[in-house]
Amino acid sequence: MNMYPLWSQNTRVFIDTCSLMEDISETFIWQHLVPTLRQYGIHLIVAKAVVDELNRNAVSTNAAKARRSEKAKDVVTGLIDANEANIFGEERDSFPDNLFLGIFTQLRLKYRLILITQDRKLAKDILSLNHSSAVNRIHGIDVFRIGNLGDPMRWKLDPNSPDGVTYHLASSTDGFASVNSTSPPRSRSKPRTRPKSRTRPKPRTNPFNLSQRTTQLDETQVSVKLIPSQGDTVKDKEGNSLHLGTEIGRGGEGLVYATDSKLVCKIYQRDRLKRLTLDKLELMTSRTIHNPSICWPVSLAYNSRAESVGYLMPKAQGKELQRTVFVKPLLQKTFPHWTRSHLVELTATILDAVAYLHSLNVLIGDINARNILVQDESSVFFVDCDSYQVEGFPCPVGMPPYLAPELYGKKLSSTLRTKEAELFSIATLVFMLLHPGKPPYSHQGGEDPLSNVQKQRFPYPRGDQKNQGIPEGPWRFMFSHLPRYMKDAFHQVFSDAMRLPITEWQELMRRYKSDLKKGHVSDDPFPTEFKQLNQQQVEEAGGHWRSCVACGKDFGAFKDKHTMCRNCFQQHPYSAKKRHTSKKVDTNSSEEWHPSSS
Amino acid sequence: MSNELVVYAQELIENPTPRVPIVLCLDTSGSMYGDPIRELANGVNLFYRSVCDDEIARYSAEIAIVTFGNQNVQQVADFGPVEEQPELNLVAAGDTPMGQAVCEALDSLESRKKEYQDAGVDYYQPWLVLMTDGVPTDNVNEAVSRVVDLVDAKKLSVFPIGIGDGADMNTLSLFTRPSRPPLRLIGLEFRKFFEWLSASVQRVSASTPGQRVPLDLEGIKGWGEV
Repeated sequence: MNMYPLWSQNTRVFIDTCSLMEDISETFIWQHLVPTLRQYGIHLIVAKAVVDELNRNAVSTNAAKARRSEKAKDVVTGLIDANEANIFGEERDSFPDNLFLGIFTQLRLKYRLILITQDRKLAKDILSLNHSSAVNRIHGIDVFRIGNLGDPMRWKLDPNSPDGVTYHLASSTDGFASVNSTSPPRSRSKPRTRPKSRTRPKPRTNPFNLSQRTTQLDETQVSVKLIPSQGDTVKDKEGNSLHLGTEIGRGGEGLVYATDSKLVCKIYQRDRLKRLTLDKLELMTSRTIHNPSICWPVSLAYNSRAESVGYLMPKAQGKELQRTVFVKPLLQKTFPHWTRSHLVELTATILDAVAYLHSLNVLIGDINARNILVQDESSVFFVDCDSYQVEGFPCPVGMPPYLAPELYGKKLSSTLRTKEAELFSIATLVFMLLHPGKPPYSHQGGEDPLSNVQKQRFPYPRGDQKNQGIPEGPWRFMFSHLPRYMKDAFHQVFSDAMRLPITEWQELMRRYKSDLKKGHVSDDPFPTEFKQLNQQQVEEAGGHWRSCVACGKDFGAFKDKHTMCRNCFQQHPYSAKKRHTSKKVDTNSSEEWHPSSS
Repeated sequence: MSNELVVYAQELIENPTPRVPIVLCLDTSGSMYGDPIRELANGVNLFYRSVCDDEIARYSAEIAIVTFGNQNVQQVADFGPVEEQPELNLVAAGDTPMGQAVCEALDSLESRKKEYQDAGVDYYQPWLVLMTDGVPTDNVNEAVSRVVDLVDAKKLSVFPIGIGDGADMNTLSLFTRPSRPPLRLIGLEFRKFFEWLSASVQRVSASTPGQRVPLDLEGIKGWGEV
């Protein structure tokens, strides 16, 4: 018997890939495990290597395996969103089995350890760590598996069993706190606070409520006797006076002025101020937002007659994405030294700010390249926050190509959007950051951004699939150079109509960053050629390594008829002619030349 | 291909911004001689500059010009990057073959749209600006029916503008729907009109679907009247 109790603040619980992939894993986790973790104020630990394995399995050709991995990924995402689990470990840790043995050997002298696995051999190896030379200093290791009905089963060393282990239903002494609720895990109202040690200590803001229904939207015009302008004075909610300086912005609804404080002031035009605008601003200003990237309304602004005329917000720095990153000449002018790593870092920065808003149950709604300002890759400013969807107040605007296809034709000013709709906009923005400015559904034969989104034709190659009208220009090269997991993610969203959680995009960016750092993928922001595989990669993928008949350079051929490398083929008069005479581009010239190109 | 053409073709495929193709169909007949033609050319040149000065309009607007009058019907500027356009010089002379000019303007829009589609470039539905100070000297029936069909199919926005008292507002009104009648330019306020047009280009890409091009109706008062 171990001296240390199985469950305490000093317990560390790990879970293996195979357990997460069990169909019933969600029941086990949310009904048995999470309540226990909460009781002791601890988190489930998901090793990075496990996440990697899930990602690998998710693209498996075995459909059942791929499906179970997708589901397991959702489970992990749900846990992280709810702040019940942490990711632990390094990029490219070894395979989970070796990793667990390593971690448990290291941590057994410090923590009471629990592993959840379905794997007999691993269970035996881990349990055996209880019986080594340092036995009297070991805090104790226990191993459980998920039973067929989702309840915890305990692994036990058993010399009589052929595998050396058996399992039985966990008993009450195993201390699992179980709840008999079948409610879905994500409907829990408030996420827990993060452990202090892990993230920067940050004042916490209470999330807004999640509304299912639109608030009574009072469209009544508010009559204002005096619209202040430059040179006038406004007051904030505490009665402090601010002096309106020069006009710094102008929109459909009003003007934005600099003030003699750190804040700027939006003043509505006379006929644009509705009761509901003020109601929404009252709600928004009731919370303090502790994130410098978000230019959140901090106070209503009042004129000299104490009428509400606008609001105050922090001043944004930098310039719109559309004017800095989304056209090559502007990007080269604004950030001449930028490489692909900067684009990836910028994407990660933007994702972090979106994730923060989501943690407060706020949806941006009108995500686009004109209300995100970029100062540099690690500092961005979100403006026009008064249009965000907060509680029962919808976001009344949106534009293609960011607006999700299911929202076209809806009256946005009275429609509450779903997080899934927002995740479409996020995916679009990520694509357009990595292919600076190019919308994902641009394709040959396409028209305006709106009908392109409605058609949902994603033209970029996938596996052996023929090209679907990939646009001319550098975009095909950019896509070709993306790591495999990025291509897969884009295809899941734009070809398979899935929506990936924001945590997954954040995770993908971490991976992409690390692969860039290691030199595994090209750091060129504007590659001008397709990605080339090396001889080993080509042969492993079943191709032949041969010399190009045009330029003499070696290349990987995957079909007997391929005698020219892809870059020469592109320039060959045959393909150029075909491209320009037919409406559809020559399929051969831009199909994925190599079947596996990660 | 000449160097210029290479640049032109590269810009087409390398610029990812959805385009707003605009064709200006301008009366350069003899009656425009003097201040009107000079102010018109100044207005167009101002339009070029103001589009170039805005990073968003610069990469989305593409402007072609078809004139009718001097040299009959002539395309004096083709689509492509605005900053590459030479300063416009107009000469007033001849008749007012408006019908033929509008048809040529529509043809050039169609072929530009085809180029966008072939290259996989997104575009917004084009704009046709039609400016005249007189009465057409040719048959406008074909032009009218083509324009009206496109407008009804939401494939074209049309802005017919009369210049001075001699402008045939009845003919111009054939090109539009009653809800948006042709406007008469106040005096020779070409500059104000083109400033307004340039501001409208900047707004087009920021519109919520379902809404029409968000016209700045207040702004129209600076240059036009019904």
